[in-house]
Amino acid sequence: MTPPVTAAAPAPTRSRRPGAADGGGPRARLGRVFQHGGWFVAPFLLVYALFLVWPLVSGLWYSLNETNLAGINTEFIGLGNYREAFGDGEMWDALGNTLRFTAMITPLIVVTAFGLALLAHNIKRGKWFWRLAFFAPFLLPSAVLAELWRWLYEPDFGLLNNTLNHRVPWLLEGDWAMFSMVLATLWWTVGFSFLLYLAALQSIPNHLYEAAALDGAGPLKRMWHITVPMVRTITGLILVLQILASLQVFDQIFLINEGGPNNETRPVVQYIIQQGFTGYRIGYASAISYIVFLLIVVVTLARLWLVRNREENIR
Amino acid sequence: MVHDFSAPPRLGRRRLLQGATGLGALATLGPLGACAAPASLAGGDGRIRFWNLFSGGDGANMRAMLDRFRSEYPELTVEDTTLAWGDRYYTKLAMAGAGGRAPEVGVLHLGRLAGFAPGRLLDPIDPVLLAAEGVHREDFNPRLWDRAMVDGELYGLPLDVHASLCFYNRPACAAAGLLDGQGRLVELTGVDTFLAALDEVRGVIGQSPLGWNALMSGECWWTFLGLYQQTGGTMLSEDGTGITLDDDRAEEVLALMARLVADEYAIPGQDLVGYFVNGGGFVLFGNWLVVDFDNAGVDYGATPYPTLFGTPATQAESHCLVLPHQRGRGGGANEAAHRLIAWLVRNSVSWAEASHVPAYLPVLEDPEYLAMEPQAEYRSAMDMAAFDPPAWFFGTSSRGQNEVGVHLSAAALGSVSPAEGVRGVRSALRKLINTRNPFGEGSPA
Repeated sequence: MTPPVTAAAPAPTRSRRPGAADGGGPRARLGRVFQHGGWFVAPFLLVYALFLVWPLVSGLWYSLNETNLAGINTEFIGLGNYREAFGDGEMWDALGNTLRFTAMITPLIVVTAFGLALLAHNIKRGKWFWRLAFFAPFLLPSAVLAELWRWLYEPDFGLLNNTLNHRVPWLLEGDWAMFSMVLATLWWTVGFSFLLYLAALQSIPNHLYEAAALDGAGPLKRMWHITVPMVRTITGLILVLQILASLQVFDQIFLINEGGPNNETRPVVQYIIQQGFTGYRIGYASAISYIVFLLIVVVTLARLWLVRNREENIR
Repeated sequence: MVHDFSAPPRLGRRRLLQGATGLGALATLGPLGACAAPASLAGGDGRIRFWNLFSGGDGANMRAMLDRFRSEYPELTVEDTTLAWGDRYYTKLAMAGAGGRAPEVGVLHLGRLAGFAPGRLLDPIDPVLLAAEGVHREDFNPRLWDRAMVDGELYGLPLDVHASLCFYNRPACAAAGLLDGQGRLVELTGVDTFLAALDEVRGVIGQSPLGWNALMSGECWWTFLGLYQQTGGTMLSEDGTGITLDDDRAEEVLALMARLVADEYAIPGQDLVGYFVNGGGFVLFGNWLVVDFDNAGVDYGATPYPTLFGTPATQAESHCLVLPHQRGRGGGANEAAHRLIAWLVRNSVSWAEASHVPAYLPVLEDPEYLAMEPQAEYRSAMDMAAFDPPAWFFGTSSRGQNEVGVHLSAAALGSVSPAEGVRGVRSALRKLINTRNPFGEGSPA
């Protein structure tokens, strides 16, 4: 999985210096823009347009055509690809797998990361070691992770089955295989959320705990009534980041098991790649991409809406 | 980002440079400019660019052969590029051919030729130029040569056949009484004989006797293709538009595959090299494991698949040398390209060291080749080769292999019954036939 970097950027607020006149021709207006940092932003805008806006637009156009990889015999078919996708059982299966993965991993990450952060925060000795140990797997590339866990899950002489002295079908049966993917991913990515929680824990002022202790609140009560509410914002953030990242899951599943057995772990991103690059149908693959993209946009908007609501409530 | 799977933006270098404003932007975009620039304009006359996908153990052999070619023809320049195997190679080759700016020479799996729009993405090979280099149709197995012919033109020059083999652990088979006087595996004909031999070897080695990974749909496809052809059945009509699958025979083969797993002859998910090097009995896999097993110093032999269902057959593919489409192909560069492909084929005894069976028949009689072990032991794979069905969606690492293979693997693992597996295969074939060939006209299927 790609590290969760898809955090929705806050909508830029329009601020204009009071007194700045609206007059002048377009040239003058452009001149003012560049006077105020436009040149500094230009490189970013260029890259943004090239790698985000342009692919978005051209992908939309491809999705309306029967486009192949070589770009020959292209034919405009309107919404034909979307119609085909909605009737494509394999697309739904793959999307279902992605959602199942997301539903399994997200709560696990939140709970585990919080637990690990509490441990690392409260432990007295060798703090640095625990922080490093919990965060280190996050630094591995997906290929290394896949190789590592493939050997751990090896049926006969893998470490897990050898230790358990029992042949657990880690990658051989659909439900087990999905669980195995979740387990490997949890180990791999929990470090990121762990770090966020750790930072949140460190920013809780100590006097809250002292006051509660004076009032006779035990450790459990203190955690439930102080720690959990104080890290609520971070929990929300982790939830959303995790959902967004999990919806794009691909690398580790493809590398460990190629989406097997019987395509029961194949995520939708793999299906897109198979359609687009193995089957050469870039148009159809783009249409499915847009369906997934829409899903991601919905999640992002939902988060924005939730955050705004909360802010208004606070006010 | 999901939408990144669309093709890269079509933006010329000049516009890019015009757009780049600051030095910082230039630095960021420098590499991109290089990407967008034409990878190749028509090459200089003595320059041969050669794309291949030999990223495995055979890559070293290919590079050694090219070095020899360079020393024999110092006036020619060969620039070889090894790209990652599979989809990643084929997507690049297709796009280069579509733009007409492809390298002079490429490598293609013969099974993928039908889907690669011969005439559009590939240019025909000139038989006159080949003959001038001493290479003729008679020097090849006609099945290989004819498969590379489309509309009377030759689009691929076969370099080798690489086949699914049955590797055997020689000491274990000797202890089980399965070797003949020359120390080679005796013929195991029929399912019962084969399973009995596996049981014997299980007794000798004390673990599962067969390395065969039913979890991987590609490996199930190879096994199924070879064994199903042994029953005499076909999957698709010659023109690739009708299903000719014989359900009963297919079910019989799937039942055997499921039995191999259910009775723990083979443990799915096993690393085959790890298994064999650590005293495994048999392995069913492609011939390129020869390189790994030789490196590990295993005492072993290798034969084509045993004949379990009547007619000898073993799954096989063939690397062929192709001329990807270039606008205005011709002249000295094209002649040099023909010289290179003819030379590679004539000198393929070095290629055989990398475990492949040379397609050029004179090499098969070469004493140097006949002395190679275990290469010479499976040279008959050439005559019993079971190729992918003739349709655009089949061939190495293709959609067809993926989508049919999944049902085979499900049946082998026991998640569905063999009969359901056959129904799955049918529905996958139906769906593929109903999908329009993305590259459209120019392909026979």
